[in-house]
Amino acid sequence: MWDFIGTKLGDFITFTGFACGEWSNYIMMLVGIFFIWLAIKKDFEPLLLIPIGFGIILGNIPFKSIGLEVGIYEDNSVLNFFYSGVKDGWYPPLIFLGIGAMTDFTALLANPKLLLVGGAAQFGIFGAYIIALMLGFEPNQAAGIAIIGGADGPTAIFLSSKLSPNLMGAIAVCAYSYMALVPVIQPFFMRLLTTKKERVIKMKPARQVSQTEKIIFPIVGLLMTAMIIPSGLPLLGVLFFGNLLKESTKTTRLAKTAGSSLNDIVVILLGLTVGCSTQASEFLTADTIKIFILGAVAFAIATCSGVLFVKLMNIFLPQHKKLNPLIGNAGVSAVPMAARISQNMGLKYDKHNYLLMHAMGPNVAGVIGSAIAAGALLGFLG
Amino acid sequence: MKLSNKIVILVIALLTLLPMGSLADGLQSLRLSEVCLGDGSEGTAWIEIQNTSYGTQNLGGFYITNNPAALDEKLTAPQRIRKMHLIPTGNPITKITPQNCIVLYADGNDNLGLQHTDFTLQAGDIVALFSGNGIDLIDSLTIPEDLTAGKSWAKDFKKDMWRVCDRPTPTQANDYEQAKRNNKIAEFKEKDPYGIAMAIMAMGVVFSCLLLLYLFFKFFGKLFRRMDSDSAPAAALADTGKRKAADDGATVAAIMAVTEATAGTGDEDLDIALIALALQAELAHDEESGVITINPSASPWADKAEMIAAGMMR
Repeated sequence: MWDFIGTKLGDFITFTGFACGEWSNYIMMLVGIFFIWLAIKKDFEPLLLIPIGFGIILGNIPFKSIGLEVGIYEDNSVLNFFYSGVKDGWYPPLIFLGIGAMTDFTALLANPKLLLVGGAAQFGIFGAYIIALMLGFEPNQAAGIAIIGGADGPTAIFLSSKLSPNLMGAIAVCAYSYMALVPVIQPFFMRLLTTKKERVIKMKPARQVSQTEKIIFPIVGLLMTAMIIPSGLPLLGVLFFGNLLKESTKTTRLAKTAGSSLNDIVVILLGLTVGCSTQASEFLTADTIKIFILGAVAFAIATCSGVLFVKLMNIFLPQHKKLNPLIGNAGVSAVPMAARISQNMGLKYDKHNYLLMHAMGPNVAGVIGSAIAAGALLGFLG
Repeated sequence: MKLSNKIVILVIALLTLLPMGSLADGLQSLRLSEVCLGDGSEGTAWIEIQNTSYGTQNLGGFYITNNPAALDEKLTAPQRIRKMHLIPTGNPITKITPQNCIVLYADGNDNLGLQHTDFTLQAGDIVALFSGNGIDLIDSLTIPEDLTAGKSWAKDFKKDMWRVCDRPTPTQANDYEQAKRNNKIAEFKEKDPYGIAMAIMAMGVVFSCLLLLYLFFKFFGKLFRRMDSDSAPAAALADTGKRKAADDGATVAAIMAVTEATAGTGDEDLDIALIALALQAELAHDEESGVITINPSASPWADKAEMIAAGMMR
């Protein structure tokens, strides 16, 4: 009997996390703790970084993969069940539903040419795609990485889960990290590409937008985008649906749920499982470092292309309709952080120049633009 | 705490933990994924086993068989094991890395190496994979009677179904959608190695969609404003609105001028709050539109007017 107990206890010890752990697991746990610290102490995107940080710790608890059905990648495990929303790509559309239900497209409807600024910022995605190919990534991997330039976490997760699932953990963490770092990355390029005179341009106040226009927008928006790029349907469809719930004024309860409780639930599950998916064996690789570098490059290109595109538009616009190039950065879809940067930069150079509402136009256009870009990449490579 | 209590706690802990060891036997992530019959001349039959997990699995010490008698649960483990082929242990060749496959050659000659079995395969045979105890069935399949040599019987894990595959894919995942996707990716890799074509095409798509939306809402917005201005009461209201906006603008300018002249309180937030309060005090009052709307209603006077119009009254 003692032999039996000894054998079983010996077996048991080999199954503990301490016996199975490698140094890389502990490094990842430290990364997770660092994320939690950033979120709590520095207030960096706490709603995302706390679930992701804790998920990183959870996903890196070592164990022997022997069919116990506990790991995130093991069939029938609870974590694997949660992970299906990421793997099969149904969490991101639910987040988009919430975004649609919370977003006010008035600024865009009042000045529809700002849609084009949101489009121009997507150059960041394709600039990063080209560089990723040069670094030796496969086209599908390059597309998954490049979408970080859209500054949209759910879109990045959606596309990478379809095209490059093995890189998804790194891509998701990178996308959310850079979204939190938007205030650090963007101002430098905004200052670099604008003159003092351009920074103080006062934009014409936005016109009143009727409720009818607001109701028509999600319907027409869906038809005009999804009919051209059906592969973007999962994101665009629910984004516009969520917005119709909000603007119809008859489904306030549904819009409220989509934008609050439902969104919160999905954010919890998404953040936790994305964190769990960053297992050391998959995450601590040279590719991850490349992904982080490419993410920064993508953000920089997106910011620059947005600002430069506004300057280009100003050449053709009459004096009284000129746009302030400081709203160009907001073409990335980090809502509303990017618009807030435009506002702060505008106030820095003219304390009466309020750019927030003007910047919200390209900002929400960026959400649509990055979803279309993701749909295009999926259509070509998926 | 008394020693006896400590012993009780220790025993309970052991009883709780011991079953965890026995759970270690399940290897549900190993799957028979494809089987192909040899054509009798060059090729031999083979069996593909896939590791669907993200951890490495070792097939060494497991049993595989085409003998249906091995499935008989009435037999003891040694009796069943005698009807199976043992996959040898102690060699890294039997390790299957995450999401990968291994192929065993069913040529009836296991002297040729670790990947060769002691049985051959025919159409209609079963193939069963057992764990190291020879009892736990991990996976099994039945080869269709009409499967011909050179074709394979493969599992599509995504759709969870088996199908005949004209082009066998030993050591490759049997995901048909993925195969199509791989072709697309390979095409892009070959014809657009720098991504320029992709950038042009995809940005073209992005701009086309956004341009369409821009044009629609630019003209729709104009149309909507014109429709508004065509209606006289609305125009009157708009005029009133403009006047009010001008008045409000003057009020705002005056308040801002005073604030700037006095350099405020020095606290920006407090200044904003004071300006907001001043604006509310100045602007928060009703403004009549200046338009009177008279709705026709039935009255003796209305009747009289109608009768006059009809020439009925003199």
